Amino acid sequence: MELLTKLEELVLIAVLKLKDEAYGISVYKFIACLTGKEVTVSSVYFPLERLVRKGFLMASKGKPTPRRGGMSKRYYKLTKSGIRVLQENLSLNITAWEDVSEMLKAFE
Amino acid sequence: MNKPPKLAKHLLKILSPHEGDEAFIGDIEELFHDRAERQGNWRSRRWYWREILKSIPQFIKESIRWRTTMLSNTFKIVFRNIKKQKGYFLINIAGLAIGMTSAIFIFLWVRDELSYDRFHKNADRIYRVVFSTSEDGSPTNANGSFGVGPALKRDFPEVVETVRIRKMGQGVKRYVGYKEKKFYERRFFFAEPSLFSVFDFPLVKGDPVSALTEPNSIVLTEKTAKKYFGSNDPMGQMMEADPYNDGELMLFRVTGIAKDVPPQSHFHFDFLASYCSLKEDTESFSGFYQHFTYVLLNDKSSAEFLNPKLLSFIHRNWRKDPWYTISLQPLLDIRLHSRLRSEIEPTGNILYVYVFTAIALFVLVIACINFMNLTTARALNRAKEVGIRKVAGARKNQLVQQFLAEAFILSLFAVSIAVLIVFLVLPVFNNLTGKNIPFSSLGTPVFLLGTAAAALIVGFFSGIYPAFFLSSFRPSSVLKSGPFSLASGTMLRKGLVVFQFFLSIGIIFSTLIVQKQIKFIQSRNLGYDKEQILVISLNKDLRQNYEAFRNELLKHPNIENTTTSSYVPTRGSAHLTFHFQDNEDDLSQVVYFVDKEFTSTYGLKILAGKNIHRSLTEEGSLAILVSELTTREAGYSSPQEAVGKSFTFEEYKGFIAGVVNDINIYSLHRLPHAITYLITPRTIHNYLSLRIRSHNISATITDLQKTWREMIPNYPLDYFFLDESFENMHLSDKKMSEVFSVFTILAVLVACMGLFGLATYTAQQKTKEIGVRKVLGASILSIYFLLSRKFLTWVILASFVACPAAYFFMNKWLQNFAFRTKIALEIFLVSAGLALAVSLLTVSTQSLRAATANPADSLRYE
Repeated sequence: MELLTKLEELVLIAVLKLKDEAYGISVYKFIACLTGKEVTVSSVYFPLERLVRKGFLMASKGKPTPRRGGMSKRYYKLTKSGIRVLQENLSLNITAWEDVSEMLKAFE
Repeated sequence: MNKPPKLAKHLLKILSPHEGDEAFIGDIEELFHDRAERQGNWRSRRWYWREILKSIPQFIKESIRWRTTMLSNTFKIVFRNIKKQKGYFLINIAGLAIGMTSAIFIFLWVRDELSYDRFHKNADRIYRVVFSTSEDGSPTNANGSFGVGPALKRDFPEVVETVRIRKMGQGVKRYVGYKEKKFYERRFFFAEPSLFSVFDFPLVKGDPVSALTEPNSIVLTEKTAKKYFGSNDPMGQMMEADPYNDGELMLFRVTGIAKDVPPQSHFHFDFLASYCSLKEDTESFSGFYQHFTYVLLNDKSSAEFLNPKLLSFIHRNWRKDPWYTISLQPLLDIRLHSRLRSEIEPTGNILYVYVFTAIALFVLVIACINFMNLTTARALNRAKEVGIRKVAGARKNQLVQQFLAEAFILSLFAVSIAVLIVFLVLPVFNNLTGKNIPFSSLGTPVFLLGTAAAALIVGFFSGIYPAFFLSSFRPSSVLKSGPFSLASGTMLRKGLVVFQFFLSIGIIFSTLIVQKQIKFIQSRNLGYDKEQILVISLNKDLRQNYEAFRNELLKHPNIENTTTSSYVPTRGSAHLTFHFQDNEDDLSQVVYFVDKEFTSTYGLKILAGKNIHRSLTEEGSLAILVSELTTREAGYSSPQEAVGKSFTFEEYKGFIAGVVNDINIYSLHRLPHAITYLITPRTIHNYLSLRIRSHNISATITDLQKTWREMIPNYPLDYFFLDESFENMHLSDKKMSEVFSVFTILAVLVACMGLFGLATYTAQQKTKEIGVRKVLGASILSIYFLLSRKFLTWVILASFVACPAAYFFMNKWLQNFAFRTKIALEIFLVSAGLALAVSLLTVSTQSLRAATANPADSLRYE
């Protein structure tokens, strides 16, 4: 299985949850909301493109609007291998985080 | 509506070369508008800028990743092409490598020439005092009188320091000995102590301030010290020497060891004796000796200010009617810009620097043209590749980049080969040019950066045109089946071939002229018989026993005559002034002190009057011989008229007894000088000249050595042949001619390689056409002409342009010589014919193969 970085993992989750509305800004806002941090657009954009190159995401062109300076949107969808890698990472995370919360309580 | 900052947006567009990046630009802009509505223009613009600046590192990372991918792809394509078309690439790379090799060699040579005397810290403030005996005051002599230096320092505050050096013997070796080690030495100087403060000649042992202050002190170079003392410490040891060659041995105490003089110095010493040990009057202004004066100025601009004041300086310090003037010559001009008599060592010539640089560039240009021509000619083979790439979405500038990268890879490859060749051939090159360029100079940063830059420049120039040419094909026309014509570009290709041959023919033409001139010089009548003269340095014992020795020699059947003289042609001269009857001016004369056998030994013709017999010191009126030129300069209408005229010279008075023909005692770069011959006692003579018969010379020399050992046992025999000595004076011309020839061959070779490639290509392209023609009955000859004709017209066209251009430049070169060969029509014909023959041979191999091929083979698959 392929290990994902935290950011890649979040981006994939965002694309999954946003369904047909997953494009640069929506993913960016999702992540900004989730982390509560001021992230830059490029820090979301480059992982998105990297995941496309790895074959986990598929990109398609949307319509250009004047608000976007005449540039079209780029929509992202999970590919089969994208879904698989997400599943694998999910089970990995569950296994890895098991009992962690219990154990952390001991330090409080 | 608010707009995002223009500059930032532009920057973003430059940064993002990929199609997907459009979405990123759009996303940012959309967010910008959201923000502008909430936060106002200024804050949202700031946000926009920040976003973009933060994205820059990511973009750079991306583009590097892409480029390496593309580059590995380009490499793959290049190597596939090389495999497929070995012949073409061999020609291209070999041509470029040869071009680069010659460029690197010439670069090394030129850098060496330009670096002369630059190792002195004060180089730009050091000047040499040069002397002029010409009427317009332009410098004529590097050497001069003794007294000028100290007087200059006394009179002008701008002169910080002066150095005077006296070279002993111009070409005559001087005896130096330490115990049993006895040698004749060529580089014996007397020098003032200031030599070490003005110049940068560091001492390994001894104190630079005091080493040359005491009389009879001497400084040796490391090499010389080793020669005489081996591993022992030479400091404080006593050496004996005979610097004046008068038999009176002087003793010197070794007070210092200097580092060996770097090759890039305009003079080299082995011995430096202290100046105060000199026997001459070192304050005197009269007479020129092998004596050189250097000054260190407070500022380099002071020379301009001083030069106009020097004539009045001579008036003030010497006399009202001086027969010479002086001027200051920059130290850094000595190697390449000085053309004076009596240089300490032969100098270089700036013209050669220019000529060699031009040749290097020419060879390189010819190689670049090969590359351009072959690549564009082969465009057809690659048209399909270009078409497919374009259909697959390659943009034009991506293709340009790809083809340029190809050119860079090839030129880098060629440069690596060239550096390897240079490394291997450097000793041969050093031998050819007489230089001493070390291997280490191939490792200096300047050299490495320079060759890398050259590789890039060559790659760019040879690749730029083919890159644009190839990438401009329309996929629709190249991918369509059926014939595809490449009409565009052929004119340029023709032009380039003509230009190549223009350069090669120009170089051939120039080489022929150089060689003709060298031959002309060697065969020129100098006015004396240089072929049959053997010269021996005189020493004390020989002077005393001369008559006996002479009588012994004359018994030998192959020795015709002997004479002694103060100088011999090619080796030094003394200039003194004479006043002749019926003439108001003092005439500067080269003075030869001789004995009465001189004219017959050297084969001089007595044009009027008779030979002289009586010595200067004997009673009675003094009789002299003068050269024909003297009689003209003195204003006499004929040699006959000159006989009997009186003259005064220093404190002597006398008359002209005879007139002899002019002889060339210097190199043929100069016109002959007027010479006066006086008979003097042998004590001031330096040379014994033997006139020998030219057969069985080695036996004559063996006999001579035997006689020498018997009669002069205390000194080793040291001799040279006059014709060799004469040839050495033209050594730099000869070297230049040899180097010239080598590079000519290279230039023509590279040009022919290109022609060969083109001819092969044309023959290939026309395989079917030739097949059809032959089937229809064309003869081999007619097909041969069809294929060769156009190449030959190019060569002929080129020779028509090249010869006049080369004529123009070579005429300038010939101006360097006082005696010039003529540039005749035959040289035009020979150089054009040579180029034609070589190119015909090159083209013919391919044309003939195509013409004689069996049409059945070429048409089989139709």
